[in-house]
Amino acid sequence: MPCTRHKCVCPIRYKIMDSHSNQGEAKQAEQKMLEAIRSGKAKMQPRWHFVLQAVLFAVGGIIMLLMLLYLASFIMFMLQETGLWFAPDFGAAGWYSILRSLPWALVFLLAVFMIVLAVLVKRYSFVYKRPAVYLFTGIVAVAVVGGFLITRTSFHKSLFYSARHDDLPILGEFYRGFGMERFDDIHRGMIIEITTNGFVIQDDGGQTSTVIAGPRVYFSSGGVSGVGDDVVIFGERSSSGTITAGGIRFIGR
Amino acid sequence: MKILRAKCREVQKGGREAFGVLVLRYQPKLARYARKFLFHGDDVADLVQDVFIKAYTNIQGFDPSRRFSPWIYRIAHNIFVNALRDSAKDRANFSLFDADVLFPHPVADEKTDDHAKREEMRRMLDAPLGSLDPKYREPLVLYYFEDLDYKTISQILQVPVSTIATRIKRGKLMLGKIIKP
Repeated sequence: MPCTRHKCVCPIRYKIMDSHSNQGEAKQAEQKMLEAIRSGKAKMQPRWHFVLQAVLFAVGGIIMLLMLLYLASFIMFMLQETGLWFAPDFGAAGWYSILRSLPWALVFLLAVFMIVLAVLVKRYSFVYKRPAVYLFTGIVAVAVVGGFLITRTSFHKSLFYSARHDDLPILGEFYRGFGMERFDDIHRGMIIEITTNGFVIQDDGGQTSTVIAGPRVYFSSGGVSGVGDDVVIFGERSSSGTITAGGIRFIGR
Repeated sequence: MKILRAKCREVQKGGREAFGVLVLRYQPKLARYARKFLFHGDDVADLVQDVFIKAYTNIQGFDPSRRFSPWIYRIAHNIFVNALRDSAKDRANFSLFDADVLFPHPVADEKTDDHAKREEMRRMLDAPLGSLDPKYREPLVLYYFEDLDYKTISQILQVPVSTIATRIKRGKLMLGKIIKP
């Protein structure tokens, strides 16, 4: 459309025409928008909607963080209770045992929680301004350090104790299922009797096992002192229930 | 800037007509952004209209103590990216996982002499821009055509400043290869 307002033949004529065309478009858009507002097609959301949204995101983030810490600490607690935590002390075979016996469903759930938490906090400028690798490293560090610190408290111990005594509704089965799981090659228990070629251990469930500790057994922490020691045994259990120890790790008294 | 913030406050208090001033100010910018980024000439007016409707709907969520520009450009970015996703041509170019955002990039800061070269770059970039991946095209459009700095573009795209610098650098290199095969 020719420019009717500017009759000049200057080099910037087309620029002016362009500018008039833009102004025309903008004016048209303004009229259309105001019409949309008047007709109710465009409706303003109330302020509380955004306040509520921000609060829900913050609360969601906090809940997800707490769930992440709970699950990370539960996995660590469960590994300690079953003895798997100490398996790396027995070398490559110990690591293989960990990989085989890890509760992968819980680890997968933990990864899902981490991703959901990352998505929830990604909207904050202090998060998106930095490379995502920092965010994921931060979340993993919080889960590992926070989870480990929680295992140092009596939180899971008391819940596990209640679960064992059928005194924990809802979570009881969860604790019993994972915390009392027994593996073929890693066994945790307390020495209740010393025998000529080993000792007898009793686990948290009250089940006893005879351990044969031959002369070539590997003591990862300097050996055991006697009855009352809490130990982790690395070795296969035979069909008769006897464990031939390949390695013994003293945990405490 | 103060006038725009005052207008936003006015709209938030119910002054509908004040929104018209914001439309007049941003319609040409957003239309240019849409044309350069999307390369769909036909529905630009509708898409820009959608941006204003969404901005009006969400205006109570805008903090008037902050700049209005990154806020409305962010809305435009979301609407334009959705439009690109809907078009089969660019669907594959938006992945959930992007290595540019994942890792830090040791990229130099924005240089002042870049501003002086913008006009020349604009002319050079204009024609082959459409053949570039939208991931690289968008920061180039925002930097060279919308005259926004890295920090503002980072706020709009919600990615680190170093990622913006990397994408602009890579985008320019890619365009260089397209221009001089």
